[in-house]
Amino acid sequence: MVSNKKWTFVVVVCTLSIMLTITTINYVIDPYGIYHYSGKSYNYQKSKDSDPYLFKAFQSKKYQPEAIVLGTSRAMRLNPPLIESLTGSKAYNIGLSAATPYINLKYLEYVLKVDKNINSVFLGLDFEVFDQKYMPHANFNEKRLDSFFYTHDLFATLLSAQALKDSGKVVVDNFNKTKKFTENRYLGDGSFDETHVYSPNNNQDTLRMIPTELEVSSDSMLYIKKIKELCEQHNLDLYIYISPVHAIILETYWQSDIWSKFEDWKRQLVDIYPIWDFSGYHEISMSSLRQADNYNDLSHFSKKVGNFILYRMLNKEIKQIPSYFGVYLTPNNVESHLENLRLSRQGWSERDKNMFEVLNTY
Amino acid sequence: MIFNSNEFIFLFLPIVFAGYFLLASVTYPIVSKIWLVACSLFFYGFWNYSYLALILISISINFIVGHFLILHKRKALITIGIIFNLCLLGYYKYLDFMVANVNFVFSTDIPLFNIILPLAISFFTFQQVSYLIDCYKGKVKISSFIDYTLFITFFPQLIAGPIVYHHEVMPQFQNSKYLKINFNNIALGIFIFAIGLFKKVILADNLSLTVLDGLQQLDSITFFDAWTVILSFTFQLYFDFSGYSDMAIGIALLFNIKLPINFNSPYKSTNFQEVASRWHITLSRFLNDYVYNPMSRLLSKNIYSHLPIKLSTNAKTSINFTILFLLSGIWHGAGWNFIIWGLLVGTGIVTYRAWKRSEARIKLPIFLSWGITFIYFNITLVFFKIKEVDQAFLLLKALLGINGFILPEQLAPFLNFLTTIGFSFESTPLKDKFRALGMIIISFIIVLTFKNTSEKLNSFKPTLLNALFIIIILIYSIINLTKVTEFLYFNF
Repeated sequence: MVSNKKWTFVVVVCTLSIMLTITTINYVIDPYGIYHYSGKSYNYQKSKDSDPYLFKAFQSKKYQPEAIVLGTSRAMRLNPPLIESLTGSKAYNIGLSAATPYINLKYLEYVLKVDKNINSVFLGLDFEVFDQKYMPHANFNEKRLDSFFYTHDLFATLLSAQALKDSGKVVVDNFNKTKKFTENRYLGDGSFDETHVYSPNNNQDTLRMIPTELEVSSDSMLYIKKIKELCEQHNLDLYIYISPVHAIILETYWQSDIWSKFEDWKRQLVDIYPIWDFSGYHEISMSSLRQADNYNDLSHFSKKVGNFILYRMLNKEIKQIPSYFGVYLTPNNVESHLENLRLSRQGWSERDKNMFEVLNTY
Repeated sequence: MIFNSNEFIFLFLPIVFAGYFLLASVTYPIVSKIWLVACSLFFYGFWNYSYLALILISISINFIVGHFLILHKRKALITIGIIFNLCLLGYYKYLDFMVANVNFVFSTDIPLFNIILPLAISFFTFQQVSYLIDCYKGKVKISSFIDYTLFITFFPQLIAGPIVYHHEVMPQFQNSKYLKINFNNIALGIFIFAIGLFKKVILADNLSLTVLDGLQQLDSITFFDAWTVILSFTFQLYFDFSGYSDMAIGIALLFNIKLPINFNSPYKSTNFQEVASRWHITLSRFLNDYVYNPMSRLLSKNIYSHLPIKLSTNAKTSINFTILFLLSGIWHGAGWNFIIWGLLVGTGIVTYRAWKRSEARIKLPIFLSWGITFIYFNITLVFFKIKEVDQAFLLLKALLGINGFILPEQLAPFLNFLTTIGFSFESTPLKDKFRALGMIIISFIIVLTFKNTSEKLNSFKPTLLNALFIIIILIYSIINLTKVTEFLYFNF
């Protein structure tokens, strides 16, 4: 038996020492890419449980970018190094899977709080996430962005059993050069790592998830308006564009009778702010998915196409961009543009077919 | 803020502890009390600061009423004080329930107020009522506003008890020797806190996964899954609430304050009256002192003595017990399920008392009397857990085998002989059922064979083996705090 004082001392010191050790291990290995994303040989590949909603909040604060990209996972194809070379502004990509306009707004508000350098915003818009029924992503945590005092992420990534287990898995996978528990889906600049390999059924799964009914949420339009107003208040250059979704997805809109809503959505958007529209039936959107040149998968265009988008919006390297790619939409030209898009559909030989069957061979 | 959060363990608690004893050593005792009050209010407001005003107004009015009661023992004043507290509780906790029932009975369409229940209102209301009655009875001689506020808001017991009496804790706060760091109490406090944290984070939170899953499947739940779910809830409730109480007692000990025990191995009980006396002891004590005794006197004087037939003492006691536990049910929540739960508990006690007095009584083996008690307690908890009464009956039917005695098909190779007595084996939807069974077995072993926390507290010896045990469970609990959950009793 020891004295109560010594007992207390032993318990407190040993507990704190062990917890400090666990924290240090998790910090050094950093399985989720929060503290130092571009890792060493032992942690280059990050845990499959790495959550971009979490690490992009940390990284955007740490990097203090001058330009940010907002939008869904499609926006993750806009390349920050290219933005930097074209504009001179250090860039970070905060594209987030299934991010709704509200989520984009909250991340913009967050960046405005934590990043004094910001001067421009690239916002990618996708029709699906404007659906009234579209739920915010499960990983979206508003407290993380709003709270003055929010420590949960620190403890969850440094002092938790799960983080310790994931650290072990990350080290094992990286040393063995396997991908049992890890993957390389994101790069240190927040953009998509195109070496990532999708599962074989990915395209079919994507097509099944494309909505066949959709009502545009008026709240979502208000959030876009709020983003525009915030950018004006803070003198930020705002570039808004509509993603070049693949013709198979466009055709699904058409066949599901939501094309008119797709058009109304564009009309409402141009009433808020001029938009670059890259969607439509053109050579890029109609290109084969097998070559993986213009599209990483059915849902996501490639970084090569992302580069075209940036060139067009920033009016640089014009010669490299196909002439048909990207129309600057304002209330004055929106109707003629929509008419052209309707006509351009006639140029796709696969129209009116069953898209699941088309997808099998496309 | 809750005890099982990193913010509480690593930031709030060390800061409050250091500040309290530092201020006590360099300034007047009143300053350290003010510090503790301020920190307690921060603790309360961290959850939802909008109710800080409510608790402060409630404290101020009760203090003023109590102050006058100390000076002038007036029945009208104590009546006003109690009515004020009950109205406050009634407004926040029961108004919508009453409106919904009026709408149902009279087919009206009065809109609900959708009032959010202020945190801990049931607990601090009871504590304040007990204070007023103690003032009226002359048990409180003097009280300052800071002392009174500290008595109500002292953060270890503010949210979910233990419900303490003024004369129990105030002398401890007023004793200057308690303002110095006492390593005996700190060692005990850490010991008890670590056990409570483990109960909550490792046991209760794991059991809750089965409960949550089971509640999603009430429409199709069958015998085996139903028992797995209700046993998981029975143990979850115990580990959750007794774990909270352990942590509260442990934290208070760091400040040299001894809070009363709240649980005394209730699942070892062999009759239902014993369960009631071992479960949430400080609530039972309050109900006995401030509700049962005055109510019994009132009923005897004004009701029983005017009845055309003369009731036996046992009959009167049975009625009193039933009313008491009905009130206890209502205190636990605004819903018919809690009313049914209270009546079931009351019925259990009355039945046991009748059995005990019965001349035809045969002495049951301990195991059988324990089994009947425990199974009945599980059945009462169906209505404690499930707010919608029709849903509760779905679970009850499954527990009683009314939908058939269906066991999971994985057990068929081992228990096939049960088919001869009506059991069948099918695929059942409850997830991870064998993990849940493992948790239930571990829970049985812990509650039936281990000493409870208060017994461990009394026999605590500062050995290195003890230290190793505490270090392990403390670290294991802390690194599993990733998902912050609420305590079940926060809703009451």
